[in-house]
Formats: sequence, structure tokens, C-alpha cells
Amino acid sequence: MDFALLRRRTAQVDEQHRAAMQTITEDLAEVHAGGDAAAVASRRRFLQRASTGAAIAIGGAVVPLGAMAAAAQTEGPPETADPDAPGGADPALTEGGETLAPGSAEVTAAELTREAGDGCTTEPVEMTAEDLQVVRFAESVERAAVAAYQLAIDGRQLIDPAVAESALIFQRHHGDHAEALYCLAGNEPAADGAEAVADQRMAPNSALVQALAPQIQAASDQAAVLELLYGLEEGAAATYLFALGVLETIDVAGAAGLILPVEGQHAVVWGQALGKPIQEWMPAFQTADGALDPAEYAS
Amino acid sequence: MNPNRDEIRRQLRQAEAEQRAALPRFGAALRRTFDPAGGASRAERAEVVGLTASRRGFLRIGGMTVAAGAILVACGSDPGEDVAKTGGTLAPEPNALEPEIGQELDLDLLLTATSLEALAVAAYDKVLADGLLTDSTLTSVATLFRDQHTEHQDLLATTTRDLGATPYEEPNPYLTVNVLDPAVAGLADVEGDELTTAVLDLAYTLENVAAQTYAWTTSLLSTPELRQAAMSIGGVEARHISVLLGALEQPQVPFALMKVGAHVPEDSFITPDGPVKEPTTTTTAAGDGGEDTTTTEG
Repeated sequence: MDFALLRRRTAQVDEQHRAAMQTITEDLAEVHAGGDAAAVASRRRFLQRASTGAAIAIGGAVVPLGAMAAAAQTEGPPETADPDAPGGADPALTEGGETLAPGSAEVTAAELTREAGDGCTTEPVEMTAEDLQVVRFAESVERAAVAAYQLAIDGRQLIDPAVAESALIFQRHHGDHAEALYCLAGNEPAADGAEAVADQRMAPNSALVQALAPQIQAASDQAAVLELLYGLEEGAAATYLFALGVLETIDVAGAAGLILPVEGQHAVVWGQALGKPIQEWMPAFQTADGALDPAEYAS
Repeated sequence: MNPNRDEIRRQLRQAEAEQRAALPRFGAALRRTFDPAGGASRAERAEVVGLTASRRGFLRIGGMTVAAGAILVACGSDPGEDVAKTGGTLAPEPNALEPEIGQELDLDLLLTATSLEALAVAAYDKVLADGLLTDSTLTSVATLFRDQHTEHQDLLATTTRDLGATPYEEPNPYLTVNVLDPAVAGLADVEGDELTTAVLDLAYTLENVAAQTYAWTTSLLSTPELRQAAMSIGGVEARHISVLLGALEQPQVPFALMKVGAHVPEDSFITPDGPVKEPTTTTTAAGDGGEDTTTTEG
């Protein structure tokens, strides 16, 4: 085996995870040091659905998001990254106490817009139009997760301090994922010459928000809230696994490979907290069962 | 937050039994669907990892066994049967690397991953056989993790065979010499709670290398199918990490993104010709009354 090419490729990938990496967006920026605009022979069903769902959100239409969207609106670029030690403190522990106040009943996608490129340190990855739609869909899901966690936190059902603290950390993780995906996609035209994506971040996936919000608000106790968050995390992990099976751009796949494990780890924590049977949260293989269907969760 | 330990042990036994029952079907389905010569359609490959064509329940969890069973019903049990109902074949996938390098690297990564799983199995076997964990719950967890790594190893090895290559089923020699053996030797110096912590640290180290290696491969493997298959395993290794961190009373999800900096080093790679670097062991006879000295170099 000639390792020369592998070394070059590995150097690109390794660069992202140096011990002193500063921000999550920098992490992802370093992942996609190379570009790959592969031709795709045929559109797949998942991608078609993702395209439908994402286009609506990107289009800037008024989305009835309620308090959850407002919560997401205040989600800023990620803070300085955590220390490298495996058991080290997460920045969310120190930042997590911030107040993300509920807002008005309607929030436009434009209101969620930030100046292009803030928080991103490198150019976006060149990717296929289909991959771009998947990334945009994933970003909308991550922002919906941020909003869902905010509603859970605001609901006061999370009475166990360890649970509440974990919720804050996981919310921050989802915000980091959303920012990373945003930076990955950037605002560049799609590789196949499709219309340029609007210069804005994705809104929280409104269908997902609308599905979760009433359940979280109606949850009677901590366990009921955690059950919903557990399902959210398992669904997210499954979605990334499925996405890995359709993403053609290797650098985009690489990013999905960094996010998926963390969603699964979130699920482990909530599964344990709920006292769920271990076979539910520790399967022998991660599957795509329960993946978010873009058709069902079109924003 | 502190479930009854008897109940945990019961669940562990149940999980073990369910996994034993599910593995043959899941493994066979994966092999057929991810075999480039197998002709499985994208829809079938999606289904085998659990994404059914029917409306997916967002909050539904589990279901691997059902999904694997479904594809087997569709595919039959004979590997020689036509897997794809639609008769479709896999289209060539783009590759960020040169194609010949990508395909060669795919096999190397598959072989290396198999050796990583074997290493984990060997480590857990050692821990269990020597009774290094006295807490029965931790022992049960170690047993479950060992069994899951065995399943991963078996699946990777069988996939390698199906691709026409010979699997490497020994524990990774480079990591055995440079990571496992020194750590195991260090266990002799501690006892009690310190021993438990040291064992958990060792398990964490091995799981972390494995999880980061799988995540790393998603930026290297040449096809979406391979990347997906890798993370169907890598995602579970990451879950193992969270459990071990919890047992170590550390934050269970310390990072927003999976790190990859601890992926296996180049010297630990396994190629079809064998390990890139074979550790060498030399034994030097000592003088009068002395013991032989064994030196191992990675």
C-alpha cells in the first residue's frame, strides 16, 4: 500500500482535531479541506424529500414557530471549544445558564438570519446539489433540536440538576452541529449550477417543532420530557446514518460521521436516566430505523 | 437515575440473547446488500439498516431485528440468490481519492477495523477471565461490550471474505504491543477501586481509538455504502464510550463533535499482505541466575 496519498488525506482530516482546536466551526472547517463535486447518476427518494423540505425553509417564508423558534433565534455561534481531555468540562457548563427567552408566536426565517459567514473560518465545501439539500435539512433539524431543548428547559419539569445540566449541554451541542453544517454548506451555489442558496441560516424545522412542542408543553413530569428528548436524539442519530448512505461528497460524509456518534451518546444518557432497557439504547449496530423523513418533516 | 442493578443485569442478559439471535440475520443481510457484486438496490440497502419504505415513526426506536428480518425475507437465505428484487446494480461511486487507491484503502480499512474489534474482544476477555472487575454490573457491561465487539468482528470478517479477501482476525499486533500489553501490565500494580478505575480507563482507551477510527474512515472510504456500514459500528463504539465515562464519573458526552485525532496510526494498518509493521520480539538470555529479558518493539 502506498501511504503517501493516505497521509496527505489523513493530514487534512487530522488537522481538524488537534488538541488546541478552538471552535466547533473551526473543527468542521478543517474537515473539509478538500472538495468533491461528484456527479450523481440519479436522485434518490430521500434526497428528493430533503430538497422539498429544505427549500421551504430556505425560502424565507413565515414559519409559525412560537416560543421554540425564538429560543433558537438567540442561539449564537458556538463558544470557545471544550478542553481536549475526555472528561474535561464542556463550555456549555459555563455558558449554559444563559437565558433564551420565549418569543412571539411568529418568527420569519429572515429574522433568524445572521450576517453571512459569521463564525465560519473557511470556505464552504463544494458539494452536489443533492448533498446540499441534505445538509440544509440536517441543519434545520439541529436548530429544531435546539428549540426543543429550550422549551424543555423553560418548562421547569427537569427538576434533577444533573438532568437539567445535561439538557443545557446537549442543547449547545445541537447548536454547534447546526453552525457546523451551516458553515459546511455556506452560501455558495450548488455544484451543478443550481440557484444559489439564500444568504442565511436555516430556520428550525417547523414541522418538527410543531410535532414536538405540544408534547413537551403537555409533559407532566421530567420523565415525560426526557422520553421526548430521547426519541429526538435516537431519531437524529438514525437520520445521520441514513444520510451517510446517500451523501456522495466525501467531506460532507466526514462531517456527518463526526455528528452521528454524539447524537447516539445523548441517547445513551437519556436512556439511562429513564431507566430504559439497555437493548434500546445500546444496540449492537446503529441503524437508520426512525430516521427523520424529510417528506414528513418538511418545514 | 439509579436503576436497580438486578434489573440492569436482567436487561443485559436479555440484550445479549436478542443480539445473538439477531446477528446472523443482520450480518447476512449486510453482507449481501453491501457486496458490490450483489446487485442490491439502494432501497434495499436503506432497508437493511433499518429505514423501511413505510412511514417511519419519528419517535420509534430499535427495530434492527425487524428491519434485518425484512430484508432477509426479501432476499432469501441463499447468498447466491438474486438479492435485488428490482435487478438493479450499484452504480460506480465517486471517490475523492484515485479509484485504485480508494479501493485498496477500503480493504485496508476493513482489515484494520477487524483487527481493532479483535483487540477489543481480547481486552475484555482478559478483564473477564482474570476477574479484574469485581462489580457484577460492570462485569455484565463488559460482557455485553465484548459480545458486541465480537459481532462487529464477525461481520467485518465475513464481509471481507465475501469481497474475495482473507480477513485478518487477530488482535491488531501494533496496538497490542503498544497499548494493550503495557496497560494490562500496569494493572498488576493496582487493586481495589484503583484497579476498577484502571480497567475502565483501559476500556475507554480502546473504545475511543475504535470510535475515532470509524469516524475518521468516513472521510476516507470510497463509497456511501461503506461509510454508512462503518458508522453503523462506530456509532455503537461511541455509545460504549459514554457508558464507560459514566462509570468513571466523567461527563458522558464531553465533545460536541466526535474527535478523530486518536484514530489508529499508520503503523497499525493491516493490508492484504499482513500488518504494515510487525512488532518484533527478541529474547536475550541473561547471565548467571538472571531471568531472560524479552524486548518487544512496535
